[in-house]
Amino acid sequence: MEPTVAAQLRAIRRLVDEAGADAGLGEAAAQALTLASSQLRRLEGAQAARLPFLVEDNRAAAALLAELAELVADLAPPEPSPADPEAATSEAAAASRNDALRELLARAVHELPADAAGDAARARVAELLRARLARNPALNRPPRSGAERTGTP
Amino acid sequence: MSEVRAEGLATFLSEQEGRPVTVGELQRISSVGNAREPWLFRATWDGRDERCVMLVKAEAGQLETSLGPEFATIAALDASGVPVPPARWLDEAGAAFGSAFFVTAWVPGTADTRVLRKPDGDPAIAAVARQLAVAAARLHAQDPARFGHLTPTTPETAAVDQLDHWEELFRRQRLEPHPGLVYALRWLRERLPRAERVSVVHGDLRFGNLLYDGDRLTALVDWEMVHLGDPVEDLGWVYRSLWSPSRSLPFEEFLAVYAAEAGRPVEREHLRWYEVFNEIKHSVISLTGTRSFADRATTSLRHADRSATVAPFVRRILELIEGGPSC
Repeated sequence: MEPTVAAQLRAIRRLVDEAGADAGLGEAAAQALTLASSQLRRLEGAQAARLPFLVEDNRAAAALLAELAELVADLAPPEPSPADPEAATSEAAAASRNDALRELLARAVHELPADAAGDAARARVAELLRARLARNPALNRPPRSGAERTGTP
Repeated sequence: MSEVRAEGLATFLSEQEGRPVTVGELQRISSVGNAREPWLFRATWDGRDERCVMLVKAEAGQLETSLGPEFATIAALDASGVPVPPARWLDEAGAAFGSAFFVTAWVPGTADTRVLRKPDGDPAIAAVARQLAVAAARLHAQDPARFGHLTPTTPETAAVDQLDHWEELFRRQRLEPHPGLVYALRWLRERLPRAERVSVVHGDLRFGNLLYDGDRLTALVDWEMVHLGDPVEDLGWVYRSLWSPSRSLPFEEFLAVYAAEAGRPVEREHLRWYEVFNEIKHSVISLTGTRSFADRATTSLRHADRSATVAPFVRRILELIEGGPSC
């Protein structure tokens, strides 16, 4: 599909950068445009990797939930809808399923028994979380610009 | 936020003082902070002439905190040995120009953190970090009874009170599931530490929230997260990688200076609990920022994707839980 989402983001960022180069801008407006530009750049980078990440994450989370179902009730993960031909390839569908699976994982972590079996299961959850972080495209984004910060209030 | 005007400010200050106060040279100063908008002005009354800083409550951002406890804490710390800017006036109701604010005397110094990134460190920052350790120990030695404006707690409940507070915020502010944070919350709840003592906890004690002038720490600022709690909470925050001065002064040396001043060592497992807790705390602050942007409570783009910081915080949580090194 042309233009791709990444191409459209790139084009919008170019416009934002051009607007930000206007010497007549006030400090607040210039800073807002700088922030917008750098956020668009990060979105460009992460967007292409998002669907493959979600598909793999959904597969791993569903497999783990199947294991945890022995210890926690009602953990059956939602299945992709066979009536939706785009379910396997649509980013929106993958993201929606990912939210549902992570909600189940969060509940499982909360409800796992406080015994050896529960501890072992939580260790498996930690493994999944580590693997997810290693794959997470958001952690491979370009660094934030000086105008941004990750500070507290 | 309402328009800040010198006339309204002068009227308010005159009412507070019971005599005419003039306000001049009022100007907004730049800040990377989010919760308070800083202004500089000169106040003159009774032949006295003082440079002042006014902190105006900003629009909704990451956290909603009221100015009263912050101002009362700064006032209570006057002449305590903890460096704070002298407290002057509080307008919590926004009587002067519609927004709440408080005023302190101006204190020399900068909050610039860029120097922390110097590859080989900086001797002046090492000196400031040592003074910060001493200031933290003195803060934590204050008698909590003098801070009756803060919610009381006990050694048994200090940790769970904070955990309950931040977990409740997490559940309210999150826009999506976060199994990693739920995992950490459960880990924390199963290992609640007992505080050796209850103390005043700054809550955001770090470079960036202090002023220094050369190699001299001049003031601890940004007290909006102050509370009564376990002093180790501050120690688990001060060297987080985002603002760590470790290139200038290793964390172990900071802890040694703190322990010498406090007269007691810091227990490592206790510290680790608060390091994990603080990753949760910062995660929730980030989630609150994104929620504010999503709900249109703020238009600041700084908050738009703040929740993206949660993933690296969860990575750090997992390292800590697996027994990774502190700071």
